[in-house]
Amino acid sequence: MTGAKIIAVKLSAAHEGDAELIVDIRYSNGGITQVPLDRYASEALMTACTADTADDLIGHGWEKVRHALQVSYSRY
Amino acid sequence: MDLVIRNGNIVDGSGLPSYLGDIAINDGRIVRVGNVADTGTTEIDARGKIVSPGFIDPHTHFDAQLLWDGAAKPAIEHGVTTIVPGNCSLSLAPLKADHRMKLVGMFNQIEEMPFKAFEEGVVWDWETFEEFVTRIKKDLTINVAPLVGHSVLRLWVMGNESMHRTATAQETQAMQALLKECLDAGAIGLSTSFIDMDETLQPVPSRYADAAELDALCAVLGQHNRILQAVHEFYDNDITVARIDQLADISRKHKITTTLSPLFVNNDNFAGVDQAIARVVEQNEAGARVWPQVQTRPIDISFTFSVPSLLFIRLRTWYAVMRFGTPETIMAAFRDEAQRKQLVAEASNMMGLWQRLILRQVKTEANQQYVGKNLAEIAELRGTDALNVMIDLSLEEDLDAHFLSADMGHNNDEKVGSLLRHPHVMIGASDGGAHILSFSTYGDTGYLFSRFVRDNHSMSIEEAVKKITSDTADIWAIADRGLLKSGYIADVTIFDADLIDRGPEYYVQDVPGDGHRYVRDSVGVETVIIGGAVAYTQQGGYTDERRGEIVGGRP
Repeated sequence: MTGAKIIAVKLSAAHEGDAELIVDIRYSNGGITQVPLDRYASEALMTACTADTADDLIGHGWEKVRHALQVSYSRY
Repeated sequence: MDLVIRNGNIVDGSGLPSYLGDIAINDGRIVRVGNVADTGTTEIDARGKIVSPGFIDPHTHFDAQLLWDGAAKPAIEHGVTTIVPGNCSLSLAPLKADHRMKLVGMFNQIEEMPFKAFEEGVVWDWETFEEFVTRIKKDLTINVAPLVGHSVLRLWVMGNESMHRTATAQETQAMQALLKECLDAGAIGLSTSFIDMDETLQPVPSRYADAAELDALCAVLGQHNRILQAVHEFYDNDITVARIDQLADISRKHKITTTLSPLFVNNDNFAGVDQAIARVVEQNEAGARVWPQVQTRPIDISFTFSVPSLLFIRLRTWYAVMRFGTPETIMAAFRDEAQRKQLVAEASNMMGLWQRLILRQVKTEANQQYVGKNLAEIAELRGTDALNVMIDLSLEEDLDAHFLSADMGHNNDEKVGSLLRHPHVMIGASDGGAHILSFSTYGDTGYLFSRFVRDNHSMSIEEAVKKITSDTADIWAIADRGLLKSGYIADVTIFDADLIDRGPEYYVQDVPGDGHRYVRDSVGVETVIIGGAVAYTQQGGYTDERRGEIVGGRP
């Protein structure tokens, strides 16, 4: 997983009618996956990446996405 | 004959081409289709209209509503004659008295059904599944094929421990016995959830089950030839594929039908959905029965400025104001001339989006006149632009102005249409009766015909009718419904193919305890017959007929 990075960010519509952020992550072997982030995870990722806008997330590593998901899960 | 429908364009649910004919109904059943010489006590002239089997909605949460509204309004007026409640691991039975408030909390969290509705709309006079079924049967207009929820089985057997751990062998056996009791009382199957959360934002009880527990319960389903419904991690393609494999293994082992819902397709996950469908086909060709459910309607995004929305995450200034702001500082930013100018300048290149936003809800009387209009229309009335109207309305409403951005997801008609038509896909996942304070879950069938038959020609009317009648009945093993055929129960929908649609969404106060919900009226559905009796007409509304039945699975 070393070297996996965010290569794109998109806005999407979640089932419940909220906006959510989808980040595309490219792995070192060329594989790409998409990770949906709710508001809490997105805010944590923005903070971890010191991003002012979603496009600033591009180029950051996958471990920050993992951290953001943990922040979202851990709030419960 | 009790009832004769004459000169209709009969789309019989089989998928075969439509034809002109009559339908005779007696004692609740269809006795003849074709040319009917006998006269009926009641005669309906269906000339120029489609006569089809009543629609079956396989994914609803009408459980609570059925306690005060046996018609599950407005489902019937959209042509739906049979609903499946109890999805996503949650049913209202079996339920011990001690657990009532716990379940109310879960319904409140997952379905947005207000606590007050339960307080004022529900007389708690049941505990067992059989008692619940007996309770709702008293005043039933619509047919109900109820699932029993995995979470409530756990709650009954394990109490509060159901929310903390796996079951022991003895507890699993007790759940098996309880499930059998529910199936014998009329449950059509079992529902489980891998993702839902309760009112304390903890996983619902079914999520604490291990694979052995689910397997043991599915063994009981196999003995009764009943279905398993599961809510999977639909937001994650890889886990979705893994769940398809898991359900396929269960299906083959116990020879049962399984269904997972929902499956969405957004513009950024075509490949993921294709992968999921390919795996479903692969597994089904290897002997499994796994049916993904796909909804017809697009997903809308709604927001207020009182809760930060990711809709603004690409707008640096807007996101900074909302992300770190309180309601007071957000309103101060909107009022400050310089900041407002900066906000407007940053967002003005997205004016098309702001113009399309619909004002859904306000609290002041003065702004009620604008509810339902888009911001372009309101801006014209106020002599300004859509962006400034959004800010002004938010200020006037203390940020409690609710906006809706329609068609933001699951909205690629070509892709959604091809999925809906796919032979391994079940049309469903309406969620009828859920999310009542967020959006309307009614009218998906009208939308199927208006959008995917009439506008986009994704499928023929015969194909669309088959998908939501006989296909659904076959998958769910619902006997004697879903076709217009001699001997079948007379659930019939008569509609105008040129008009059928879902009406606009609006907010209405019709939930017990002065509660509200979003609904949609039907368009173009003229008559709905359930169990041989007219339950609804476009002209007269709902009748007093109560022919709804509890529809268990076919043995």
